[in-house]
Order: sequence, then C-alpha cells, then structure tokens
Amino acid sequence: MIATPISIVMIEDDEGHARLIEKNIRRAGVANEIMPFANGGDALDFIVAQHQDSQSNNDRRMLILLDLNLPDVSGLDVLAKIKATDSTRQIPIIVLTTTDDKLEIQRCYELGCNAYIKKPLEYESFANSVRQLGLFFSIIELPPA
Amino acid sequence: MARLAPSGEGRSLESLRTELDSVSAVDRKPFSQLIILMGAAALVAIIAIASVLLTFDNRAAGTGILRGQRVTTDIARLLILVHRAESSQRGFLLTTNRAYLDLYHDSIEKVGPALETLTESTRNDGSLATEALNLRTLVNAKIGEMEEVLSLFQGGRKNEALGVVKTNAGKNLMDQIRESTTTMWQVSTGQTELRIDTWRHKNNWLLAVQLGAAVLVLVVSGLAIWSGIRHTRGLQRTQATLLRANELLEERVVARTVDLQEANEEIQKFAYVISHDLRSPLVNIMGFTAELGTIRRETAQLLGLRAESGLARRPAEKVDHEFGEALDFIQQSTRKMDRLISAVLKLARSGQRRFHYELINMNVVMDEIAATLKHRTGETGAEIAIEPLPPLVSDRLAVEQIFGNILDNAVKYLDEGRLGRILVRGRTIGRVVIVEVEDNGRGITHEDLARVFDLFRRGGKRDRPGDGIGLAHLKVLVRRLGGRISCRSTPGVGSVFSVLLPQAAPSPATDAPDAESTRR
Ligand SMILES: Nc1ncnc2c1ncn2[C@@H]1O[C@H](COP(=O)(O)OP(=O)(O)O)[C@@H](O)[C@H]1O
Ligand SMILES: [Mg+2]
Repeated sequence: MIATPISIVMIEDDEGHARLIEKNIRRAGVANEIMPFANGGDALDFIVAQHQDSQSNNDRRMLILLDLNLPDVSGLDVLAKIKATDSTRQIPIIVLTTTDDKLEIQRCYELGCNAYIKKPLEYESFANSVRQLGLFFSIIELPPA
Repeated sequence: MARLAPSGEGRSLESLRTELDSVSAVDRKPFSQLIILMGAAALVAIIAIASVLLTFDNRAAGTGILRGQRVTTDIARLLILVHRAESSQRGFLLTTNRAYLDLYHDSIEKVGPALETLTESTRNDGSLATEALNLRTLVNAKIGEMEEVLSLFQGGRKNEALGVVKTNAGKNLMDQIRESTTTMWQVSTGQTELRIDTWRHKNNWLLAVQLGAAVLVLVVSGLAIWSGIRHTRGLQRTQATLLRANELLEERVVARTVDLQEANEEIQKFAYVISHDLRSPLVNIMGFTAELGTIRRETAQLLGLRAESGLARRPAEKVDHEFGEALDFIQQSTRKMDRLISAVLKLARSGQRRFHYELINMNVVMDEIAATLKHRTGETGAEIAIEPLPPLVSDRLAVEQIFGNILDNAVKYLDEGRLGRILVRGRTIGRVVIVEVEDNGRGITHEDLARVFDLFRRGGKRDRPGDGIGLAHLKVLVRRLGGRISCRSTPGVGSVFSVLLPQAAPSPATDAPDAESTRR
C-alpha cells in the first residue's frame, strides 16, 4: 500500500505564530506539506471539501493544528464541527492556545481533540513537543524517495 | 454598562415621602382626640363625684324624714297618754272604781318617758324644741291639776275637788296641750313634707345625673373606640407605606448589586481579554527572540570557522557576547511579562470560576500542603505544626490555593538566622471559621503591610523569587468566598496571617455568576 504523505492543515490567524509553528515543525525534521489558513471558515470549507472528494480518493490524509483564538468562528466550534462530521471525525487535531485554562483544556478533550499545546512561550519545551509530534509524523510519512 | 436608576424610581420615592408625611399627619389627629377623651374622662369623674355627694345627701334627707315621722308619733303618743290620764281620772271621780285609778297611775307613769322621748327627738329642731319645752310645762301643769283634784277627792273633800274642776283650769290646760301638740304636729308634718319634697327633687337630680353619666360613658367609649379604630387604621396605613418603602429600597439594593456584579464581570472579562490577547504578540516576541538565539548560534558557528582561520577572532567574540547579552535581557523581560500577564489572567479566571461547595477537612488540606513544601522545609529543618482545625463547607480548590500561598510565603520568608517554626491553628466563632498561620520569619514592615496584598507588590529585600501575585490572588479568593484576610507582623520577629471564612456555603442567590456564561 502506498501511503500519501500527510498534509498539515494549520489554522492560525496570527502570521508570526504561524511562522514560528512552521519553523519549529521544520526544525523538528518534519517535511510534510503545511497548508496555512488564517480563519476558521475557509479552513472548514477546505477540510470538508477534501473529505467529500476522499470518497473516491480515500488516501488523502491530514493533521490539523488549530488555534482557539480565531477572528471569525471560535476554534472550539471548528473542533466541534470536525468531530461531529462522520467523514472528518478521524482527522487528528492538535489544539494550540495561549492559555492553559483547565476548563478550556477539558472542553477541548471533551470535544475530541488529540493533543493540546500551549503556545510556544518556552521555546525549548515547545520545540520538544513539536519534535515528538514530528516524530509521530515522520513515522507515518514515507521518506521521499 | 451599569444601569442607571430609572427616573420613575426617583419619582415614586418622592410620592412615597409625601405619603409618609400625610400618614404622620393622620397620626397627629389622635392628639386632639386625646384632649377630647381626657375632657370626657374629667366630666365622668365630676359626675361620679356629684352622684356620690347626691347619694349621701339623699341618705341624710331620708334620715330627716324618718326623724320627722318619729316626732309625729311621739306627739300622738303623748297626747293619747295625757287624754287617757284625764279620762281615767274622771272615770274614778265619777265611779270611784279603782280600775280607773290604776289606769290613771299607769298613764301618768308613762307620760314622763314620753315627754323625754319627744324632747330628745326634737332637740335639734329649733321651733319644735321650744314648743316641746312649752308642752312639757303644760303637761306638767295638767298633771299637777289632776293630782290636786285627786288628792282632795281622796281626802274626802269632794266639794273642794269639784270646785277645782269647776274653775275650768284643767280644761284650759287640756285645750292648750291640744293646741300645742297640734302646732307641733303641723310643724313636724310640714317639715317632713318639705323633706320628702327635697328628697324627691334630689332623687330626680340623682337620676338625671346618673342618666347623663351613662349617656356620657356611652359617648366617651364610642369616641374611644372610634378614635382607636382610626388610630389603628392610620398605623396600618403607615405600616403598609413603610413596607412599600422597604420593598422599594430592597429593589434598589438589588438593582445596585446587579449593577456592581455587572461592573465586576465587565472588569474580569476585560482582564481576561487583555491578558489573552496580550499573550499573542508576546508569543511572537518570545518565539522570534528564540529564533534570534538560534540564528546567533548559527552565525557564531560561521564566525567561529573564520576565527579558526585566524581572522578577527576577538571582534567576533565581542559581537557574539553583546548579541547574547541583548537577547538575554529581552528574554528575561519577556518571560517576566509573560508571568505577569499570566497572573492577570489567573486572577481574572479565578474571579469567574464557579465555586463548588463541599465539606472540607482542613487538617487534611493543611497536611497535603505541608507535604508539598517538605523538600524546602527539609533543607533548613523548619517545622510546620498543625493543630486540630475546625471543618468548613467551602470551595476546595480556592481553600487549597489560599493556604498554599500563605504557607508557601511562610516558608519562603523564613529568617535564615533561626530555626523556622510555622504554626497553623484554627477556631470557630459563631458561624465563622478563623484559621491562622503564624511564622517566626523575617516579618513585614508597617509600610509594606499596606501594599503586600496589592497585585505585583512585594515587600522587604527582593532576595527571594516571586512576582507579588500570591497575596493579591488569595485576597480575591477569600473575598469571593465571603471571608476576610488580615495580617499582623513584627519585622524581624514573625508574621500572623489570619483568614476568616464562613463555616457554611452561602445561600444560592448570592453565589457568583456562572463562569461559563461570562466566558467569551
Ligand atoms: N510570611 C511572610 N513573612 C514575611 N513577608 C511576607 C510573608 N508573606 C508575604 N510576605 C511579603 O508579602 C509580599 C507579597 O507576597 P506575595 O503576594 O505572596 O508575593 P511573592 O511571594 O511572590 O513576593 C512578599 O514579597 C513579602 O515581602
Ligand atoms: Mg508568594
């Protein structure tokens, strides 16, 4: 079976954050394609559209990095919608946020997020967790031939 | 934001005030009623006295009438006795029958006492007394005449006796006696009639007065009842008005409380938004500073390669050093800023978190906190002693944070010069639990004591790590739990932090607003 490389859908409105996340991902040695979205609406449309196609092309796989503070819809709403739709439910979602509010974290896990990362304030720890995630990606990703 | 009092509310208060005024005006009327009532009471008293006096008077009049009747009887008796004496004497003179003589003597014997009785009963009555005296003389004269005739007759001198009778002196005396008694009888009867008349008159008066009194009593009690009802009605009205005033006040208090709650929520939301949104640029600053650090290392590697070739080794080191210093400062500051923003966020969050009240065993809580501090107390040999503490119903997390902070400070600000001793004790006063944490640490100066509870404010030497958040945070928590926190301290000797908490959960109405609903 030939696995298609996983795309990383990054939903993040802050350009700087997006760039930092990307840099950290790359530094961790993850070479997967990153598709950035600056708002929740566009990202949702894209994800849903992708998975309607995947009826025929079911090896289109992705991972979502989701910021909770979005300009249009709340990150929690995006999370809820993806996890409530059958075709997209299995997509892994990593929530990124600036807070470590216990209630918020709990809410995210209730809605079905797979990981929760506080925004990269401590560079070392963030790079670490991204590297761990990157490791996870690289195992799934087939090294480019 | 905060709702202003609607103008209608002010107007209704105004109308309430006039209403209260009118009510107190109603209240003033009973004063004049009181005067009327008092007047009526005085009248009743006068009538009572008058009727008592009249009754006494009446009794005296009754006695007078009785006395008059006795006088009349006494006169009649005396007259009869004198008549009997005369006729029995005549009978003896005519028949010489001794039975007549006996009757005569009996009558004469009784005349004396009868005279005495009459004198006695008329003694206080001027004209009657004089007449009685006159009658006594006449009667005595008559008796003397009869005795004379009788003794002449018995002495055998019948003609002489007859001669005396023929002088008509006895008859004259008898006529005079009759006349006198008639006069006395008339006077006495007249007096009695007069007395009966006045008695009747006074009786009528008494009746009238008593009737009047009865009517007055009826009127007065009617008036009293009426004024009582009026007064009670006035009081009821006042009460109702006051009740309404109370309700209005309560409404206003509730409105104000809601306003305050809204304002408070507003501030908390504000703090939450600020800290949340301030973090975004900070994340960039910190992230890219870290990037700069990486770039610096990479640059240093490049420079290092060149340095190995012997070119510009010293300038490269210098640039690298300055680069590093600048980055360190930026990173230190941003880290600090991050902590401060986190603190604001934490405060905002703890102001919104809904409390879950449960029964808390304070000794268990304190033991757990002491255990987490073990690694620090263990180093210095400091000791945390925990006395038996009263249980309370409160929010476990908040209570843990409050005493965690206090104990953390107590350990942190111990004096290195002496063995640390921290004592936790508690007691219940009424419906309040007081828990005190006493240490023998470095203490807090009087000036610092005033600000250590403020956010970001620290006291004393800045030789221990910290951001001045702990006390500010726990002050918010304690206040939200409905308690108080205070501190007394002697610099160089130690401090006592006492936390006062309600023993039981508050009624549901006063609970904080739902955190979820105010969270954005
Ligand atoms: N037990 C204590 N003994 C002496 N000083 C204390 C004690 N607790 C608090 N303080 C003073 O109060 C200040 C504020 O305390 P806190 O708000 O917990 O902030 P921090 O501990 O981070 O400085 C401290 O800086 C210290 O000067
Ligand atoms: Mg502290």
